[in-house]
Order: sequence, then C-alpha cells, then structure tokens
Amino acid sequence: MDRTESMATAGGQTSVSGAPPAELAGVAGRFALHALGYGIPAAANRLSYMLGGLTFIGLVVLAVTGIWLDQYYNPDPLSAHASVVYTVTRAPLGAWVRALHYWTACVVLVSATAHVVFAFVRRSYARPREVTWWSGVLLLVLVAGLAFTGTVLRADQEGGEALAHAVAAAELLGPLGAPLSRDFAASTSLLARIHNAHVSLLPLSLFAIVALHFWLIRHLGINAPSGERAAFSSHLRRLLGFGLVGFAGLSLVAALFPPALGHRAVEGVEVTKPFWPFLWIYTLENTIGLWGMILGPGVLIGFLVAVPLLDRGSERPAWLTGLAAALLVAFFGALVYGFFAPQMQHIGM
Amino acid sequence: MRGSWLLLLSGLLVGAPATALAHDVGVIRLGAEEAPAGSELEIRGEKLSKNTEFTVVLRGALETHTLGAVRSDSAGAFTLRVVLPADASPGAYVVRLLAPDGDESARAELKLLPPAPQAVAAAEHDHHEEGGGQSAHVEATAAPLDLPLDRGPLEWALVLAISAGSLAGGLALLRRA
Repeated sequence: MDRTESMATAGGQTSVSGAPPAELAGVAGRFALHALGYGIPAAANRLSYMLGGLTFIGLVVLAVTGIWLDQYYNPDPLSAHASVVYTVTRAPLGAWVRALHYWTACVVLVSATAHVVFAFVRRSYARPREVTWWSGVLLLVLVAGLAFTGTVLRADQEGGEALAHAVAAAELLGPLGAPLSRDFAASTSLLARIHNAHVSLLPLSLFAIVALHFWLIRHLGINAPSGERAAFSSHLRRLLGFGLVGFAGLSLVAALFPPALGHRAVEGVEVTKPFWPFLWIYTLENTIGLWGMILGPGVLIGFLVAVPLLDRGSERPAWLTGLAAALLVAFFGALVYGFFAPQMQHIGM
Repeated sequence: MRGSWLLLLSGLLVGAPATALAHDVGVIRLGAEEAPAGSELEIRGEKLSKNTEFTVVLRGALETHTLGAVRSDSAGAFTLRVVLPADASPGAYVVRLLAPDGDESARAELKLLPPAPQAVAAAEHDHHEEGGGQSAHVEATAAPLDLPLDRGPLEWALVLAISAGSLAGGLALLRRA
C-alpha cells in the first residue's frame, strides 16, 4: 500500500485517482480532524451533558495556570508563604494567574460534582458503563485531592491548619496514613511532598484516568436518548465555545476578585475554617470529632462506588433514589451549616 | 546557510561566558548554611578585587537587609562577622557581596531559621523602644493579608485582551455550532 492509498483508507474512502480525498486536505486533514465527525445523540449537545467536557476544559486551565504559578513557588516550609506573597505582589501577572487558578478550581469542583449528580440521575452507571462511572468517581476524588493539596501549599494559617488536620487524620488511619506522616521521609519536608503530589502525582493520575474515561465514553457511547444524531465535531465546537465564554468570565472575575491569602501559618492553633468545598467535613468534625474527616468522605465515596452494584435491574430501586437524595441533602446541609458554624478546635478532641 | 547558523551558535556559546567574566567574580563562604535570625554569622571572602570596599546584603524573596560593609585585603580576601537581623522572616536568602558600582561580586545561599528565644526577646524589646516596626513574635490569625495589588495599565490591557479574545472566540464557535 503506497502512502496515498493508506491516507485514503484512513479517511474511510478509497481514492481511485491517487489524490487524497478532500477531507484529508488542508491543516485539518494533517491532524485527521475528520475522525471527529462520528455521530452522537443530538441530546448530548444539551448543557447538562456537557458538564464533564467543561470540567475537562477547566482542568486544562488549571494545568496551564499551575505551571505558571509553580515557576515562583518555593516548597521549602520556611519560604513557601513568602514565595506566594512574591507571586501575588511581584511576579508578572502573578495575582491574576493565581486568582484564575483559584476561581477555576472552584468551578471545576462544582461542575465535577454536578456531572456526577446528573450521571446518577440518568443512570449512566448502569451496565455496560460501570467502569466509566467508577473512573468518574475516582476523578472526583483526585480533583478533591488536588483542591486540598492546593490549599496546603499556600502555607498561610488556613493551609497550615489543613495540613495539621491531614496529619491528624493520617494518624487515625495508622499504617494506611503513613505517607501523610511527617516521619515518612526524613530527607524532605511534608510540605515538599504535598507540593510533589499537587504538581505531579495527582495531575498525572488525573489525566491518565481522564484518558480512560474518554476512551470508555468513545467506545461505549454517551448515555443520552437515542433518536436524532449530531456530529461529535459539532458537539466539540459547542463545548469549546462554552468553555471559552466561561474562561472569559472567569478571567474578569479573577481580575476583579482576587482570593484572600492569610498570614504565615502558626502551628498548634486552630483559628480558621477550611476551603469552602470542605466545609461539610468541618461540620462533621464539629459533630463527631476528627473521625468525621474520615467517615464522611468514606461513606460518600463508598456509596458512589457501590451504586452500580446496588442497581442491576432495568430501573433504579426507589430506596436507592431515596438514599441518594438523603445523602445529597445531608451534603448540602452540612456545607451550609459549616459556613455558619462556630469555629472550633478539632485536633486533640 | 547551515554554516552561518553554526557560526552564530558557536559565537553565542563562546560569547556568553566572556560576557559573564567581564566583572570580577569572587567567592564567599558562610560559617553555616542555616542560621537563626538574630544570630551571628561568619562570612569569608576570597578571590575578590584587592583593597576594595564591598557591601554585604541579605536578599530574600520579599525583603532585603544590609548586613554591613567590608574591605578586602591585598590578597582579595576578608573575614567578617555579622549579626543576622532578628526581625527578618525565616526562609531562603542569598548573601550578596556588592562592589562599589553595585554589581554582585559573590553570593552564597543561606537558610534563615526562626529566631532563637533570646533574639525574639531582644527584637520585642527593640520594637517597644522604637515604638514601631514589625515584631518577631507572630500571633495566629484568620484575617487575610492586606497585599498591594496595583496592576499597571499594561497588565489590565493584557487581561482585558485575553478576556475579550476568549469571549469573541467562544461566541464565534457557538454560532458555527
């Protein structure tokens, strides 16, 4: 097979004249963009079906802004806070990039959670999409892990207390929590290892699982009502369109509302509350102590993992819908309560 | 054509060190790689310009402190003992030796540790004596830092251009879809 023949075959057509087919001409042809023209349900072009794609665009923005911020960050515990202050006050575009990173992280956490809720409502976990669902749950956990480690890296009072809570939780877990103990690696600081997790371990894991998630969606199909069909390239254009409009909005929000940075952390005291997406865990800590930090996420993740195993019939059992609704109400209730709850000491409870 | 690129590249490679060597570059060695704020530190210099007055500064990410002045001997060396400022924030610093024209003649990295208790007491005493300045003793607080966020017109223009470009691109894609 000569070169022209192989290109024509790649385009899904056989060229008689020997010239490449029209779809392989131009820059788009060089990037084989015609391969994105496959059909998907037209219903997938609704915004509620785009939450996963928009979350992915947010992750790309986080990666780019994160690379910029990391040029100025010093993971040495003594220098970390000063390097963040330097980034905000002196680095070129530093304040805007940091604010964009913060606000995009907030949006990604919301859109990823909403994506999981919509996927549950649509029963997108049902056979044969169990692994797609589990990979999505794992992505939610990784995004939450990135949000937590990002908070710690600020090395301000809130970050210092978040790290102290993580260490306390790790102690409760015994050997399972060893990687988060200060004695795990005597050659480096815990903050440096948290930094390592935030910039390499967690993002690499995240993008590997995203690749698996996309692969499964591509081959098992989007779980949307069948009927009218649309080209995936049109879906992608819409997704990028919404992504860019959203980015423009976030860019302005970042310029006008820079996120706060606290004073350098003082160890051994608790005077702050956590980053707002973790306020529901704060409520649980206020109620049942440090174990709430482990039991709350454990119950939630355990439920999400178990969902495909609990619903194996043709339609979802009513009790499962009720349980999911109760968990969702409890989650939002705890989040709101955490916002208004009095500040409390948890470590040593 | 290829030859001229090679010529340019070799010129850049040879030229860069030659430019860097235009100033006298000496060596300073610190008595310790890590030292608490408020403690004494020995600095030894060698291979410097002879009989020259140098200024020794301590530069961090956010603050710079002058540690003192010293004159090299006829061999281009010196030994100096300085007291590290007790109110300097802990962190990574560079001890820089500045020639009379302001150029850096030598540098060494120093990790400044939190001040020892007696240095904190001395700094607090100074603070009360002077009636101002930043105390070395820090109270935990949930209040945010009041950071100066003065954006220049260029930065605003860039941010607005990026936002407008994204909005225009997004709307164009949505219209096409």
